[in-house]
Amino acid sequence: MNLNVTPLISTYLIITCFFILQPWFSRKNVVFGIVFADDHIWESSQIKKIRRRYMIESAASAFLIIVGLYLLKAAVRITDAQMINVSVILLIIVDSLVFVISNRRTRAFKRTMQPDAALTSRSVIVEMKKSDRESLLPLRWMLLLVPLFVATLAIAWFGYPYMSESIPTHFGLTGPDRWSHKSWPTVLSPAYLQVMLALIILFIRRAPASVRGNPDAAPDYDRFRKIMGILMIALGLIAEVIFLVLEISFIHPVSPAWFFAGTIAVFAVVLTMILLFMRLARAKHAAGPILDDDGRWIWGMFYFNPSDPSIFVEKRVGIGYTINMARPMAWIVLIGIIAITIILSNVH
Amino acid sequence: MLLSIDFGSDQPIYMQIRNGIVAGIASGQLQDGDPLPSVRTLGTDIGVNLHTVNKAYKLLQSEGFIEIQRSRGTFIHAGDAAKNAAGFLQESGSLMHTIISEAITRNVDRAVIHHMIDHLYDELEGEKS
Repeated sequence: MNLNVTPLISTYLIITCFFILQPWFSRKNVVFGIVFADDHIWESSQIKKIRRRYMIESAASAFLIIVGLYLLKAAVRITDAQMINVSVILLIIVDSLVFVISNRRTRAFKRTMQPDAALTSRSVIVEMKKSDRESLLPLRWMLLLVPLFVATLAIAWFGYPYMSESIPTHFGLTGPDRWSHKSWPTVLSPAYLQVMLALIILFIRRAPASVRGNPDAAPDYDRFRKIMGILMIALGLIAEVIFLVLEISFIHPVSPAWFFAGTIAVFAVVLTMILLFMRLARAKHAAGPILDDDGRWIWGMFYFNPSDPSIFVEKRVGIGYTINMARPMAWIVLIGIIAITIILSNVH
Repeated sequence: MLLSIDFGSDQPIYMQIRNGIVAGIASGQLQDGDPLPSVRTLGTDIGVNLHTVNKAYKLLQSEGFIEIQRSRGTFIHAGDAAKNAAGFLQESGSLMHTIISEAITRNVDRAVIHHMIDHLYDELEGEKS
């Protein structure tokens, strides 16, 4: 193996770790996407057993995939980089499957329990005495994203004549690896990406908690969501700086240190998000009647609820947000983002 | 103030929202000037269509219990409802008529009905004080 594949190997290991540690990335009363009323369920012996099986199975499959493909490499002529790329895709598919199996096991276990009086599917209690002002991140926070966006646009507009004829459009882990001819769509692509990022931040501003039923089902969630919103804006600002530098790089070569620093900053914010999730969501004790909505979470991963007006919701497992697949608007946003990304990565 | 919505009830959800807010005002848990969540927030919290919440809010507004200010939000504003007691008495008269008719056919003594009404008054006003 040469040095070039080290980042790829690290990616593989990080994804493996994320899969193995998945059970720790949800609220304590949510196990593989299945909700329980009491967070002591985390300590129950059956749940521990399901969790242990999941960890062994996901770790073993990660190990088998990489070893299997490495052995296969001797027979089939593929490069190290191709091999690891295939491994990453296989890993995501296989370990997601392992997750779905654990979701089924947890669901089967829940059925064996006595019907839990604290779990309800019939009613929901909401707090009425609150205004959007206190529960949502004020929209003016979004203004923070405007100056860098305007700067990026200005550089694209006024700098266009000075840009070189070939423009980097794809970045591998080691730097630009694909170039395009100069055109307005290519030059404006960083600005498009900024707009999409801002739209996503706007959508998750109202994302409800993944556990509902009463205000104490996800205690202090409004505050947590606000803090996450601010961190998302921080992430947006970092991404804007990266895109701005990218735009400048079309005119004048810039030090790769900029992109490296940007990546480090993104990692720092993501790590902060994980730590805050642990403290402000996972460590909180759910109380009161909890809505039994496992049926709305297909395989514990995909949210489908036609009666919920939300477009984005907090993920049931894992930190972050996902779309409500029952809402056409969510599909429009998702397909729009994918389509624009594909179009942008294919302009020449 | 907590509002409980029962999805299994025969009563439509918009009426449950409306009645819950009126009960909150009666018991003093909601007072003039108190903010209410926006239509979108409440719809998301309960997990119901925004039209449902909008219907409840529009009804409460027309009955004079709340005030919807486009830019600032929705607030309790029960002063107008107090002024409009005549309309309410007329409407509830027919409702009472049904209840009393049924009470008579079932041989329920008027004292029992009186007692029930006193009890409910005491309960809601008790919460208020």
